[in-house]
Amino acid sequence: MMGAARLAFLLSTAALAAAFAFEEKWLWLIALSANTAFGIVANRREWVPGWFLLQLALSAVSDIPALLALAATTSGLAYWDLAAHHRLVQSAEHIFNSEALIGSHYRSLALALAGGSLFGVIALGVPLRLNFVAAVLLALLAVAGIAGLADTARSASS
Amino acid sequence: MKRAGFLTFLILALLAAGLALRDGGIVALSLPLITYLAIGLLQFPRSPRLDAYAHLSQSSATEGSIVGVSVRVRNPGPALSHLQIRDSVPAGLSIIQGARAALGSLAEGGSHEIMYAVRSTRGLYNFKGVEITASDPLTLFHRAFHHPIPRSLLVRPNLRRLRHVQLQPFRTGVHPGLYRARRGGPGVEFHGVRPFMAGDARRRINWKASARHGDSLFINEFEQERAVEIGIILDARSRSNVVAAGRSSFSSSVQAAASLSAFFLAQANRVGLMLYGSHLDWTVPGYGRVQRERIMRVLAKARVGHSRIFDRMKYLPTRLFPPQSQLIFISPVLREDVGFLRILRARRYPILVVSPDRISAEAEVLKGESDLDLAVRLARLEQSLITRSLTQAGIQRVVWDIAQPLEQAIEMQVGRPRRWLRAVGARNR
Repeated sequence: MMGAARLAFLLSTAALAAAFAFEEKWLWLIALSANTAFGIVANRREWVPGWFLLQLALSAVSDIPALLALAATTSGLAYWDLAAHHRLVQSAEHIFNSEALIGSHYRSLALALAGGSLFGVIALGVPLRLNFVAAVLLALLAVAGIAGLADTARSASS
Repeated sequence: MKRAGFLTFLILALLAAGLALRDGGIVALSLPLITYLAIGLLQFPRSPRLDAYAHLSQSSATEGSIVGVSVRVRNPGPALSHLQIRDSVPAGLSIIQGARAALGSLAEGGSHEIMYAVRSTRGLYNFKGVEITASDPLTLFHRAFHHPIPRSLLVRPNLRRLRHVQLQPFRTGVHPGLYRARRGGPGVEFHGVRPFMAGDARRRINWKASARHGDSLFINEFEQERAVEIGIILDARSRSNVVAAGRSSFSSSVQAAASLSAFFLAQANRVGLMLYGSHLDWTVPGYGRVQRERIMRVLAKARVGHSRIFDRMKYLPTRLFPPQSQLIFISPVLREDVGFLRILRARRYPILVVSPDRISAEAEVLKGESDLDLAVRLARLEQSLITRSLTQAGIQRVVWDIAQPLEQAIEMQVGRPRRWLRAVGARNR
């Protein structure tokens, strides 16, 4: 499991590094190196969410090719998930039906990554011009949708 | 929910940034996260049905013994891809083998059993139940179930096997026992002779005495042996107990109380128990195995405590004990307790005091301190003064060094001398 997580970490870093090198954004590359170093430490100290947040910020605000940013985000998400799952499995006193447990997790993660990448690529390929009012309306709709999703999840968990 | 919350925060941040900067690329970055969150929610088990059963290999054990615990979880509902099972283990029990928690997945109709073994210290332990958490495969959303499966484990103190305890009861009961009643009747020890009466067994005729008195017959009478009423009083005051080298002198007192009550009940005596410390716990005197179990249950739960009322022995409600019944105090005996014990003896209660020796225990704690030898000598001097004062009042006292077995101390101080010692006329007091 940790091998797959390391691979996801490398993919995420490589995608961003390639994007910065391609765009000749050397200062951003230095920032990425710092975040990569932080990521190596983060894995040992359970700071992976912090690394993922910074990686996402680097992808979002550095004005790099959108496809590479999407690849970095997707693989970063995979690393965040796999690291958390690895920690959960490691801390368990006893594991039963481990093949089914890990298999179902991998299947769900693969589905989420594939679906997310596909939707992302489709979204990047769709030209959409919005005026300010339409953008605000869409934003409100998105916030309401996310809030509804979170609320459903909370009621399901309680 | 922690991970789901973090993800929701990231999605909202990306959406906000994308709209603020009017950059579709940033909004597109949120789509993998939204898909991930949605898949977690879609695969979250809506209405899982789980049955849990648990049992202990024994509900009653002795101190230090190993007890097995098993928990079985069955899934009659749809398959659950991520399941956490955790049994609550009460504080005081240490797991020595196996695991009390497990992580895995359960197919439809499947079951899993977790087994572990605990080592027990004295006490009454109530297991609260089993916690089961079902999650989606991405562990974003959780649903927790608590299955209250009541189980209790009573860990009794270890008993020491006593051979003989010499008591001098003033009064005996009506039931047959092992203590001389100072009355003629059926028994073993010779008591005297009396004139023959109709119905007396002919084999009991004392022919020599009958020959001396001419025309009347005399028969041998034996001393009746009866059970006695015994009240065991256990001192649970925190100020009279010390903890040394990880062992409390109170644990030794509990062990002594348990061993003595088991010993006297096995001899068909009527035994009651009074525990005084933070409160008064009174077990009404009784006979037999049920009474033994009752006393063991109280002793298993016994803890030291402090109370203003029971801080001094003089407030002990001695009227609960029948007049002249045998009292056994298990207490280190503080200086101020002596007066009360003497008063009790003056009220014609025969008393035996078993004192765990706290001086050795305290000296063990203070090892290396300067003037320790002098302090130990002074404390021993005080102890011997207490013993002398009690002995002068007619109270038996056994000072028991808790490093030694209880039976050895009892045998040496109030036991019956060994046969070979009696043969040479030696006494072991």
